[in-house]
Amino acid sequence: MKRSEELKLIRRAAAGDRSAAEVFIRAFQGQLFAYMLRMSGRPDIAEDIVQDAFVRVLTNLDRFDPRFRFSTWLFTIARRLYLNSVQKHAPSYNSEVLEGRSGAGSDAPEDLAIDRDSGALLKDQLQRGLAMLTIEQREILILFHQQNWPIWLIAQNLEMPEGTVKSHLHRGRRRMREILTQADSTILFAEEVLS
Amino acid sequence: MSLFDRNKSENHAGKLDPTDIRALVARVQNEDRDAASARVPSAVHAHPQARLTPDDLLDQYFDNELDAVGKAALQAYLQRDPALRARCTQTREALKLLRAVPVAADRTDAILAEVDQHRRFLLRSNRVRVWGLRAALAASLALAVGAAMRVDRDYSSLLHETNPAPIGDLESAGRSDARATVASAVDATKEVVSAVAQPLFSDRVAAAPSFSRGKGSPKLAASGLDQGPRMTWRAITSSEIPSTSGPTGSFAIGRADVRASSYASNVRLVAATIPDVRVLRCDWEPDSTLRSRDVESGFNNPSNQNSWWLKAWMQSSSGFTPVASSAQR
Repeated sequence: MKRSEELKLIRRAAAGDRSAAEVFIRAFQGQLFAYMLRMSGRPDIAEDIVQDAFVRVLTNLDRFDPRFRFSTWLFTIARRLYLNSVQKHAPSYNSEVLEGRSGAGSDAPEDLAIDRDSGALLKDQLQRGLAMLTIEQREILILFHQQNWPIWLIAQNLEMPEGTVKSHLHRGRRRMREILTQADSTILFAEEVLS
Repeated sequence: MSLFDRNKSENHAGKLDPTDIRALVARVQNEDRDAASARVPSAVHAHPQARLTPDDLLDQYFDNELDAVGKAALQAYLQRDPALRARCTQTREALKLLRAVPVAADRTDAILAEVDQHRRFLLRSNRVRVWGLRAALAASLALAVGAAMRVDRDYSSLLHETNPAPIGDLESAGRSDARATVASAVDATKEVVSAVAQPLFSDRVAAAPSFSRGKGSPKLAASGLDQGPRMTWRAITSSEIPSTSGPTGSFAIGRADVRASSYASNVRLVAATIPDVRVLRCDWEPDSTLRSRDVESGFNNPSNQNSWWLKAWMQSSSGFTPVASSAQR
């Protein structure tokens, strides 16, 4: 969405145009949900934050600073909401909900090892690995690699130097790779046992 | 697809010759670095990315910051080091998983429903209705303003038409003074009301306040000169109200150098302001009449020969139906 188009839509939405508000919701709810899901590891928390962030943004459109992009503003508010929720709920992980599964199985490594769906297992490990990162590492990793934000924008948004952003990014990426390497080993072991 | 084909970073190695980069790659691939370094040009050695460790190069690659020299160097390291190659592949797989965006349920309606609780969004049909209403309100306002301007214009023309006297400087001040006159008249009439509320035929008198309009020479109304004796009031009966204008039993509520319609309006406004009083009659009387009467009572003011008195007969709505009258000094 071009900046001029975005500003027009914001003006329309601020004037009470429901369709303009819908455009924003449909354009950004997927990205915001993905960001919040990876941040929290909990679809229910992610959905709540997405909804809350949109409500806050859409009810305060008159305060929008046109120097920034709508998405940046939206993500900033969502991030603050998430950080507030972290104080209430420690980041947790729910693989069943994340993978759309229900019923049997636990999160214990030995149970995960016999799961033949290696893709699901890797995703589980990814989420588990993300949860083991610091909030800064996790957030920067997601913003950079999932949301394709440039380093300067992340630095501006998180109010930290670009060098610090890069440092968090490198550490987080290495950490995540290590965790997934362990998952790979587990998969190989499981396949050998089951074959 | 080559590893570097996906790299979107800008190439900062424009100054380096491809031959130099090949020399760098050769150095990287050659385990005997010292021997190879001798053949690598100094420009390549000076390049910052040529001096990075393999893992730093890998980080910069995933940061999309490698230039041609860095890419060449990393490519060379990857060919030589299987462990590095594995780390690169693992990282790429991890990022692929990270980029996989889960499908989110469409929450548009839920979000808008909650937003509606805080801030009413309008459907297009409703917005059209609201704009129509706004347009109608604007048109009504314009009509009201136009009507007010028309009334104001008519009022001004009436003011000019009814000026029989050569004293014209008060016209301009007439309108602003009218308000002060009304306020003063209200006070005076309150006094009258309190006076007429007395029992019939009591002949009690009440002092009326000064009726100065505050501009020009002192204007007399319910009183004498500003600094002079005060006119008094007495209660009269209905039978004392003249059928035609005249000095007997009249109630002089205002005196003007101009026989302006505003003063008559003021009298009615007084009556409207004080629910207990209504105007029975309201006439203009040349000053000469009053002056002659004043002369009778020993008061003379020759400067007011061209002035007019506005006389009103007011009646209280109380059960005694007393009527106020002026002209008792």
